[in-house]
Amino acid sequence: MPNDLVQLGFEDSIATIVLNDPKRRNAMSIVMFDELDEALRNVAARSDIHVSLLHGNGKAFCSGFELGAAVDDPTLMKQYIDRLSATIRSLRRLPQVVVAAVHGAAIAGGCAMVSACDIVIASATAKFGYPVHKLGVSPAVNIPTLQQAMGPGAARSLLMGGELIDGTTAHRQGLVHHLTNDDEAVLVKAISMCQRLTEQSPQALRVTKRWLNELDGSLDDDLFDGPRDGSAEIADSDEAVSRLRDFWSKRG
Amino acid sequence: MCELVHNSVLDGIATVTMNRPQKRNALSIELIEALEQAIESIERDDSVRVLILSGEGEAFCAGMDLQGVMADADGMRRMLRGLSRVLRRIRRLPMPTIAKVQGAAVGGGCGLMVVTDFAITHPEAKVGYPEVSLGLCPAVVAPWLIRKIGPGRARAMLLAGGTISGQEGYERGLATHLADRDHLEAEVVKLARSLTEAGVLASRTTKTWLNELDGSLEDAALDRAADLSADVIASAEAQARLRALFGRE
Repeated sequence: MPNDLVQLGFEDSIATIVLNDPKRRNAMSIVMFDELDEALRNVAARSDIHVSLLHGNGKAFCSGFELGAAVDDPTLMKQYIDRLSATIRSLRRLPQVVVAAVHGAAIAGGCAMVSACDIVIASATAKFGYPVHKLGVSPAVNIPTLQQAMGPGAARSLLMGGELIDGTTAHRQGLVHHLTNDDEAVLVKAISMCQRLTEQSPQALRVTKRWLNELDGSLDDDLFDGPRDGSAEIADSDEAVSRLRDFWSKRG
Repeated sequence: MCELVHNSVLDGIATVTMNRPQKRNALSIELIEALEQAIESIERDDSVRVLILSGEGEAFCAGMDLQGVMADADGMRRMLRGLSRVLRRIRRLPMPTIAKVQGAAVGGGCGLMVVTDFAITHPEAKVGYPEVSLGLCPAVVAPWLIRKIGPGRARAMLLAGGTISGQEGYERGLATHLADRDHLEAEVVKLARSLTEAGVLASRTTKTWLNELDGSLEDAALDRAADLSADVIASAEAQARLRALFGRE
């Protein structure tokens, strides 16, 4: 891949997908979305791959959209939202089980990706949340998978409140399934979960995942389209554009 | 003749007990049918205000009795359809239901644990869904687990397979109450008695409304689940895994 913002490796029936833009805390740019899409397509096509692992290089899992570019080009925000909605569907509908290893932070779009994974391992100190209303952006696009993960009440509070929660709270609320004490231990624990999954029946895993997707509405595009359109509609509004510009000029 | 299910009613509290302790109450087709008959008689008995579902012996229920019908695709399908039917009949009983879970509730047995309105277990019990490890698909129990603990948590649990302790099962929402093993019976009776004090109409209306809200009255997915699961069991991969499992025993 040309820019290598996403690395993809295959070993022992496990696909490892690594977000690799550590200088920008793995912020999601159009190029990153392109590479992530391509990686997910590659994984989906591999019948010899039974589990996939998603994690981020550097200090954080993913800090959300790459906002700097959106300041220069206000039409980008709407594209980000469309791409994010497509990516969370792809993660959820990947035939293989997806394990997320989350350290540092998973913010906004990063948190959306986490909610779309099947099994989430995170450190107690990792941060999760959607501090985006202040930017004039609506995180509605993430409602479907976040509600599935946490239940409607906790999802409402996390999306509306704009506050960050730590891994311990995210674990209690259902977004995180297995917890480690610190960032260093996350990947080790996630790899051991992946290895355990490769000992399961690959066929049973695929059928079970597909059935869960059917039961909880994950295959229903209407469920995803409405919230995506809600976020997209206001993405290039005057309020969003001026708030984003203001935020970007003041950031430390 | 040894009955596979005991059924008694005392002071408005019905107790249905699976009675196959030598097999840890593993669900054979005969046990599933006997259970269904017992549930049917409770449906018709207006004097029953609460149902306690329990298992005789060391374990509440070890899951489906696969060994007997493993290679018999039709028998397996019949068994899974039976399980699917009995689970929804328990869910749709008009009165509140309590599972008394000692020892183990595994696979289909854990399905019985989560389909009831209340489940009491003890910290050392073994609960969960090891289906995918055996090459099986927990399709029949999935809808009920989703309704119990939410779709995200159910996803992580069913795909990871394995079993967890009663303590962890309680923390993850499979059980509504936790008691010491020695006090399990007393806690179940205490809860059952307190439930008999509720207004009958109020209690029934609330339960029916909750069933309607969370999709418990819809049949389509529940019907499909049994066949989906039966198809997976009949596959060469599942058969090979099961042979290896029973060969070791």
